[in-house]
Amino acid sequence: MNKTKNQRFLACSPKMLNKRGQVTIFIILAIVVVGLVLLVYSFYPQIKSAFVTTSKNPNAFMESCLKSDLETLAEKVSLQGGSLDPEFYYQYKLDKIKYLCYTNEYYKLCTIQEPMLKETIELEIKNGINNKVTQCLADLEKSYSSQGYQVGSKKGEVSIELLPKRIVLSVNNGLVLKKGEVTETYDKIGVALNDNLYELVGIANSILDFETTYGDTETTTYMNFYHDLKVEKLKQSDGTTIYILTDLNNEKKFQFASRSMAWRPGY
Amino acid sequence: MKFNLKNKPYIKVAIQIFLVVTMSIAFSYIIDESDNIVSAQEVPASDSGIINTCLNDCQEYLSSSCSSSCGNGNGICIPASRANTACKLGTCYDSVEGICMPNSPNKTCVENGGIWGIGNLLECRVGCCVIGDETELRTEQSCNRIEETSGIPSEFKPEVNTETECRNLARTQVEGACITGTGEDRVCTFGTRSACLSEDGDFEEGFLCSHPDLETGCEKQASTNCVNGKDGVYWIDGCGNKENIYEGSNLAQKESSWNTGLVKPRSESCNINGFSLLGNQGTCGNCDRLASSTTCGGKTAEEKLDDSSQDVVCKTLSCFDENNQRRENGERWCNYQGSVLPAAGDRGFNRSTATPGSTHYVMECREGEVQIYRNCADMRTEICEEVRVERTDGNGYISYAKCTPNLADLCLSYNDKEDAAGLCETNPQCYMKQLNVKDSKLRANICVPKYPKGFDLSTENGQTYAQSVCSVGTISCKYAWVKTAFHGKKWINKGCKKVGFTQQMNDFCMSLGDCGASVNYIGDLGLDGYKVTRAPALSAGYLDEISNYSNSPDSEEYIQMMDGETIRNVLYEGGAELSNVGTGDFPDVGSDKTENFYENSWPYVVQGVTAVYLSWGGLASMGILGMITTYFYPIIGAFVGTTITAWLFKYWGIATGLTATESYVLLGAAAIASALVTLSIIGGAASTTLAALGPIGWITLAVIVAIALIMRWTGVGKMEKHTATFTCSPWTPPEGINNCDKCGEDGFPCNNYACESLGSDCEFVNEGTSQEICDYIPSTLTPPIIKPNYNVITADSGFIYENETSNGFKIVNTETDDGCFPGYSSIIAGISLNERGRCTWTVDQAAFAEGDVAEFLDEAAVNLDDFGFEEEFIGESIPVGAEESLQDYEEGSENEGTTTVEEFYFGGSNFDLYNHTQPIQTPSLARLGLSEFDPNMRLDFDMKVRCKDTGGHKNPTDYTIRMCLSPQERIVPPYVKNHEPANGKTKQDAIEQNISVYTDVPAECKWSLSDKEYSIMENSFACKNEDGQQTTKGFKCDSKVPMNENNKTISVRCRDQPWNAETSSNIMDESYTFSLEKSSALEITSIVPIEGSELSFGTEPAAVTVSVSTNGGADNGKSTCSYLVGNFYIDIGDGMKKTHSQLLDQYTQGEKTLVIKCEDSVGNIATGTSNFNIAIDTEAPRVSRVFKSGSQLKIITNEKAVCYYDYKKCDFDTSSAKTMSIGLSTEHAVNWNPGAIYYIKCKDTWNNWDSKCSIIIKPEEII
Repeated sequence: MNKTKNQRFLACSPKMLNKRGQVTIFIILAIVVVGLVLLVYSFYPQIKSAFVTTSKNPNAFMESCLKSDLETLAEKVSLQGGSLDPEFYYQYKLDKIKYLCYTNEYYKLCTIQEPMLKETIELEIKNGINNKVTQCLADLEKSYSSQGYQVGSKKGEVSIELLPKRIVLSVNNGLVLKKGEVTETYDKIGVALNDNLYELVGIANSILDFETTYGDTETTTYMNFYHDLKVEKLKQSDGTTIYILTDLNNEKKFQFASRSMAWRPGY
Repeated sequence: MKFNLKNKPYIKVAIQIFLVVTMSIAFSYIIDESDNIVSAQEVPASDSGIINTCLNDCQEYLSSSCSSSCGNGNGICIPASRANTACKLGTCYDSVEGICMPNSPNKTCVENGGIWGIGNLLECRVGCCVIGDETELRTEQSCNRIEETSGIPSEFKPEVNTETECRNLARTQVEGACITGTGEDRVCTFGTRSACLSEDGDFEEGFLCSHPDLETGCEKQASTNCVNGKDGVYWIDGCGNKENIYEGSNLAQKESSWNTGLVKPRSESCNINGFSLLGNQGTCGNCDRLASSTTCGGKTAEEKLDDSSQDVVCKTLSCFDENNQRRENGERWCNYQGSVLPAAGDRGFNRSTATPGSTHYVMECREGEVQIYRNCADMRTEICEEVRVERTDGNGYISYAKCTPNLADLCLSYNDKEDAAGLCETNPQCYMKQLNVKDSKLRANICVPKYPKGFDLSTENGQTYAQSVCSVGTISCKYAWVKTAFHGKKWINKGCKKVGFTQQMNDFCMSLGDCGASVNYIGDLGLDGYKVTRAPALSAGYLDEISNYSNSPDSEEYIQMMDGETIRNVLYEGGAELSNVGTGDFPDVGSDKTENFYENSWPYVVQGVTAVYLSWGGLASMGILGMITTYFYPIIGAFVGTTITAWLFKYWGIATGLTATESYVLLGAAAIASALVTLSIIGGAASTTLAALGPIGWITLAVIVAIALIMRWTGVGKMEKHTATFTCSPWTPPEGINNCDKCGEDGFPCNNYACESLGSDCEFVNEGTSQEICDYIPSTLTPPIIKPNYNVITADSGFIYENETSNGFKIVNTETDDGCFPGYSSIIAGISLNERGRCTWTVDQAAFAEGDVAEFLDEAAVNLDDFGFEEEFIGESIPVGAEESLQDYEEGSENEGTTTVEEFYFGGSNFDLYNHTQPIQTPSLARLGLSEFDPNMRLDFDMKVRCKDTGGHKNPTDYTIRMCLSPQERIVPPYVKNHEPANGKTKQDAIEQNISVYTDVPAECKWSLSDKEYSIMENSFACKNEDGQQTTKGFKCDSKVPMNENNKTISVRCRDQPWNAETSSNIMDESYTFSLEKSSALEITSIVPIEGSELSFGTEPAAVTVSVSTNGGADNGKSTCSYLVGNFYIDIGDGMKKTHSQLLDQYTQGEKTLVIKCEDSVGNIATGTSNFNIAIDTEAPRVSRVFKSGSQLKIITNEKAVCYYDYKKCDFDTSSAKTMSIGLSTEHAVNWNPGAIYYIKCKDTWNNWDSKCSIIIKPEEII
């Protein structure tokens, strides 16, 4: 019992108090470190790519570097009829929605403005992300160099491909990593983004087919066949029709405008 | 110099004419502006200018506007003719994705890597693409691409090429158990054959994985669940595989579902009773979105299977609408904000009932929720149409609804056509509005819309449009009372001074659009849309009735959907020619029988005298002298006496107070008395007996004169004419109330149109953002402050505003010393307010003698014979503001005719604006009835203006705009500026030719076939010299020339000031001449496709380029051509050319007749027809013969084709297979190999082929 009392006493002795101070300091330091880490991550990926060296696979590195931009671009393109900066558009609320089929006359079927819609969208996204790809590649090289790799690369073409349920970004950059005796070669670095733009573009093409043939589209059919799809057809007073295709699973949209078989006001 | 107009009654005429002039100009201005109501995107007619094509969007624009419209100002414009290649439309084929886009410009397609071609490309033929267990119509390449990108095996079936067949193919995809792996890795999955084969599994068709024979160990019916892509509730086995539809939880039901471990088709499973709210949902999982509006979903406390351990159930997707009526999933119906169909108005005649601010909506039941599927366009420019189909199960009906353009304007346009009634009845959106004011002859039938449109009053064009539509409802009706000799006061057209007139006119007015007095969609009245003078205002009872139109209609009130045939008839049959309608049979008030009698009494007088003459008899027995003395003199006397009496009655104005009988009696008495008096004075054969009656004749005459004097003294024949005028203007929202926050409260979206209908102080703000709100922005509490709007004055206006005070300003001519305006000066009175408001103006009432203003307004009435009314019937003047003074109007009161303040809307509109502009063309003093010869004559005109703000606050004192008029000098004769037909050509078979000349000033013109003096020219023109009738070419004069010769030369001379005598006007001393010549006949020289030709295509629709050439006519072979589709011709649209071409790309197979009509500028018409045949080859080539030829196996096909062969199977890929053809041929060969089996597939020119083999050849069988 006494021993126990002594031990209790010791626990409260000045020596022990010093130890407690150390513990407190360590805890504070730990909190600071955790805070710094959180801070770094809060500025992710900018700070991360700048400060954190990685031994990630180049594909994973590029994915983490590009994914956010690719998503943003895909969304912007989708909301603007397949164009990042549409020239020929209908201002619907805050969105500039590109005319994919248009006639400026009344009682006439529209003319397709983007007959190769999928390819056009791919090109738009590619142009939009080109600079970011260059920057990410530079960061990638820097990152591997800082880890002792010898990095060899040559500038390659960026390609964007809309595929079922995904968007694939590929860079044919010819990246060669060498560390010691081991050499790894990456002819192609790819980033895949889960996205249904391909499917929505397919529906849009089908609607445009009706617009050019009949001047109108019965959208219920689409919704009956594709239960997760919502097709909104918003007629505007000048004869323009805004189509909004929404994937109900993830609320991703594709919007475009068409003006076909417009009736003269009053007729 | 200042005039006292009271003492110069002739000036009243001048004032009246002045107002006619200014109003005409105002309306001309409005009409001129209305010409500009053309969408900026509309392409004007090709003869209006050079057409350019914008290469950015391949749209055509006028060259003047192309650069600004094309590519947002940065595009490339080139002449339309040069854009043919780049912007030629065809089908663009994406060879990678296998996607085809019709109507694609060549340039855009090719630049993006597509393959472009005219018509339907062969690559674009679709077939059924089977992808896993799904099917879809796709092109062959697209089907392959799916397999390539998704990894799911696909199969293309070209022979299945309709949506239904392809979908059915998916349903018939064989399902069964798929066994993969062996031993412990042996796994059973349930799916389609194709999916199984892709996994290299063993497919057991029709077996469930739980089938005992398969020995999979999968426990049967372990649970239930929903299955992706299926609607039903399915049993799931212990391995997680789908089994059959759930049919209940007891043993028998489970066994029935399990079906001994075999697949049980859905059609053989239970039937879910969808309509009775899923009455058997506990025991049936056969949900079906389309058939019963049900689908598989999570259970709830109320919705569950009998087996309560299961988590899913068939859930209904149906809804209950606003009338608590059941709607199926996907069903759409119309919902209206207020009444929609016409209803009985005054005297039971129908009127349209649409309320301002209301919109039509298409509602939809989607997945169990009622939602707005579509807002039909604002201002009811679209209406919601619905079709109802009886349900086969007898439970009511299923609706389908859509928004469709409102054809309201078309209804109004019918009134200009000959067969207006017929056209109106043909168009289901129109009806004949009956006007029939009791106790009057104001009757008409006018075609109006059933669903009148609202107006966008936020734009100038919208306001002009609203004004033009509503002004159709401005109607005047003349009425009068006459004091009679024996019957007191007699009313003519009495009904027009009663409230019935106002009510019927408002019924008509509100049937035109958002016009007149009406209620907004929440039931608040707006009353400034009508003004009535000399008739009572609308009654409270009437206003209560129309207030009901804001109530929601019941479920039986809806607009029936037009079928396609009706739309076609309406749009193309009814839209072609203008005609006329209207049955106004209202006579002039002054043309009642009594007055007419005096206008045309001579035949009656002669008849009366003849009767007297004959009554004496003995004509045959007398000699000539006897006849003269006995009969001729009395006859002359009777004639003279009757004439004097009739003249006296007319001159003293008592004639109109006498009935016809009374007039006959008095005139007959006068005739006899005069005859007796004559006999007594002159004597004759009969004088011995009749001359003695001379004193009686004198006495009789004296009595008649005395009676006439008494009647004159007592006022018999006194007539007071008035014109009741109903002015129909755009509807105005209620003033000074704050109901703005009610916008959107009814569950429908709040929009600009709805918001602004709720009150004149409501404003829709933040439009297009998430912060849209109908805001209350109240006006000030004081009247608006009026100031001159100097902005309307430009450097070359020729006038300025001076002497501005708080009470007015003066418009001063800067081109004259005294600042006065000669006649026909165009000036603009512009005023600005410090807040939004509407203004009225009038002339100085004090300047008129009593009653003159009313008379002025009567005469200011402009004939609206466009609508078939007679001239006296309708006025288009805008007398307003008198209804208050007529509130207490008592029928029959003599005060009914009292002159009231007559006002006009400033600028011709009742819109609440900051700036108001009233164009004025000053009248000449001569036209005002003043002397033009006195160079010192001046006349000050004052316009009195009053305004009120949106809160209804009016300025209490008049604001005066003054201008000074001076004589107009004119010393030169008129000038003929132009003539028509301009090219001097007439139709080849013309019998008569309309000609027109245009003069620079109002003029009277004549023409002759030789040059001669104006006074002796034989033929006159009818000239339109009224104010407002001036065209851009000048004042138009029309006449007709008989074309009895091939050539004629016309000489024209004119004189100005047609209102003056010929001697007081300036006359042309030289003729304006032009020639007329009959043109040659217009001929169609060729039509391609030529008669009897056969054109072959691989797909429907086939694209055929039609080419037409013309010769002759008035334009050297140039003409416009059109082709017949149904009952109407469609313009080829390439303008006046000698050769026209048009791609017709919607031909189906069969015999076709192409009817072409061409017309030149003078109306020569040529028609032509070409009959040809369209053949569609959709059959795969067949092998008709097989034989050995030397060392080769040869086959012959029944049509040109390319054949491929494979040694192993029919299902080979032709793109990598070997060919046995050299190009397209009917003969095909391959090296003879007796041990081989040839699997051969042939494709024809149109890519027709069979997914199976065309033929399988075993050489040994041939030998």
